[in-house]
Amino acid sequence: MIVTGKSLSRRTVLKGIGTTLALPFLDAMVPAFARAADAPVRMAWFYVPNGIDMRHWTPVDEGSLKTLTGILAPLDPIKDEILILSNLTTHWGRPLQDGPGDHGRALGSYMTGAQVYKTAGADLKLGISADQIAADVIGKGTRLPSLEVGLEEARQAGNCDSGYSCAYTYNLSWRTETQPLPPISDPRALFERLFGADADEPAAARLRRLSMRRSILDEVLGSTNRLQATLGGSDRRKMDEYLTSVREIEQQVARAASEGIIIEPGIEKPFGIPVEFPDYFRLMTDMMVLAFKTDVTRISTMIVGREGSVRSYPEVGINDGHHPLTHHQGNMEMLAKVRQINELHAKLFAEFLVKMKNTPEGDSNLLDRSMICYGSGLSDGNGHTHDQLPTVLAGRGAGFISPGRHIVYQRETPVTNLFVTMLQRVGVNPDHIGDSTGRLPGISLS
Amino acid sequence: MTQDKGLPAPIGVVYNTSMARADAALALAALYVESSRREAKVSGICVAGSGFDAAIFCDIVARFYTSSTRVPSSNAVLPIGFPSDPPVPPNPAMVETTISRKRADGQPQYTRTIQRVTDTAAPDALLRNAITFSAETVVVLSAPATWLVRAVGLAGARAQYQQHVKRVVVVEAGEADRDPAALKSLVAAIPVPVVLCGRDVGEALAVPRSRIESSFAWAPANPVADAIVAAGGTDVPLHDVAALFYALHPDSGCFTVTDGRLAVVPEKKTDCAAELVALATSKPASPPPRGGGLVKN
Repeated sequence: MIVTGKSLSRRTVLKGIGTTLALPFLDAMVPAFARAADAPVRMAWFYVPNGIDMRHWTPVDEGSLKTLTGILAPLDPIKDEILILSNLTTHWGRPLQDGPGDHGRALGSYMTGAQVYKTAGADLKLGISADQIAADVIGKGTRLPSLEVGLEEARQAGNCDSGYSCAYTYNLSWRTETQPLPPISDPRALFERLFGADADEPAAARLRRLSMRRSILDEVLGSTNRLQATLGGSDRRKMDEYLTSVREIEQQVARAASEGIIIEPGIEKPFGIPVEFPDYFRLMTDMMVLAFKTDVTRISTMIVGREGSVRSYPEVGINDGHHPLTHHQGNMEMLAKVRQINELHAKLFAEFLVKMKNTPEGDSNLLDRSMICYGSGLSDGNGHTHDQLPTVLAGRGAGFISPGRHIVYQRETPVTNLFVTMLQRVGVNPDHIGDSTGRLPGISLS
Repeated sequence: MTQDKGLPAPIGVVYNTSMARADAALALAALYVESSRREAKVSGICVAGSGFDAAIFCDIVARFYTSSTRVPSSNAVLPIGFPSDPPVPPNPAMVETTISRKRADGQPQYTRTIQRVTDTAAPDALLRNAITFSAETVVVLSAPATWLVRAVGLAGARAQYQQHVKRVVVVEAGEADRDPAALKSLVAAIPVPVVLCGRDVGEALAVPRSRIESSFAWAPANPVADAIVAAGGTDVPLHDVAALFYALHPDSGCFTVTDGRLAVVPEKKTDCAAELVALATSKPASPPPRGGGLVKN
């Protein structure tokens, strides 16, 4: 790598033998990245499964957010950075003519706005998801067009819900009508994809590095030293912080592997296995933050749980599976557990948002320059309803979003209208996304 | 969707109405009676060309005729569509009287689930989504065509209409031509047969208002009966009821269609008017309404 003068390209990387490490935004990149309006806007979608106990979700009042309570209480400290959007719908999640299989349809139709072709075979048919419509346009400017992350190993075949393929219940992102993009659920695989090796790293070198337990930071040490010599004090500090966070994540990944948090491909995890879900969530979302920070990608999806997930949450004292609990039939004890799970997810999402907010970028921060959607394709998990969905939009989209409010739309408003609006902010102007009917008004007050 | 085994699935009905005339209220009642007899499925009701109270009225009638005090599952029953974009047209006097009726204890006479505009549905999405609930659906347009044409124009909607909709009946008295450009576009764009139910049809089937009022004796408090009274007039032309009946029963023998225009078979006029009134003023088959003021037999 050659670094001359004080102006760095946004795409500057640290290189070792076969190893490439992207850099965060530094002051030295200012000439190439000066105005907030020119800053890249990141987009992410977090999908939580099995619906939400909406009685404890929806704020009573419209307009400015007051103290958030119930499931949203963990988001209260950051309520000035979020919009709560009520009454959005995924119409194609409904049974219509296709009978049972609401979980298969819920996840499948959420980001595509398309009817899920009912099959448990290989003849999948859905639609192109919002993130991939965006990736097709703006993904060309980053090393990874998009990043698909999940917290359950994605099965791609078999019957997962009343005749719907597992491909529908495990995949949020669809590249084409027939090609899902499976999320990465193995922390090491995600780390390697982001930081460990680009396509140029020879397989032998990668294996050697892994076997020697060498850090990728060791691989790029020479390059790091040369670069740091050219940086000002502020940038040197940012570099130190960045490299420290990369090393910490790398250590967490190694520790997770040694502690036996192993993702077993293609098998259902029986509930009751004491996997530390919060740590898993934090580790994977930390890597999402770094991916955004280094502009490796500007688009990401995160499947917190596959639709119909039976994960248990012993960390909060819940040994029952999530999905069975949501079919509570009004049982108050089960409802309380569902709420606890919903709160845990919201708490971890809030932590992610705080990390984004605490990540400076230029004269702003990552959250300010992002649009992060959090939601589900089911509202009531017991009744399998696909309207009045739980939806949070976090971040400001670099001055586009006016957060801190609760907006209630007319019912039947497609959730894909939100995605159309998000995509338009980043310069992608799709005619429609699946069943969208237009833009979602009110997101911006300017 | 739950269906009784062995019985054919009822045909879906989408009713786009201004709900500004007595015959519109009667048509809504007739629709729920048909639904209770499994002759129809109420797939979607959408108000256009009238104010917010018209949507509340439709909701009240739905709750009354389906005996539901709770919001039914949105997987099977959609909320009432209503265009909220300004300028919002005035409320029809007929529905204002009905929805403001109070019981002796001061509470509203009729149960409703719509309190705010956000309890209604976005009209274009509703008119697109509603047709997909049943394999076969009919559409009755008795309102400005503005929103129906927007729905048909949504991505993929035309194909859905082609797949699901058997026919569209446009009611001339419903002022579909209040938005003439929309009506013209609709007729050009919609990929299914469009039949016009002219003013002559409803007028040929007009019945004395007193006869309709007396037919509602089975319910001391009925929102449709209240609307008929509030609408006033000596005779009630059955525009929307005729359109709905034809849409559901094109082979009833009451009507002929020539060049896309509906006409009443002259010798059947009296019998058909009686049949329509009987349908619109009937007690729903099952389940019997609770708490709506029904007289128990």
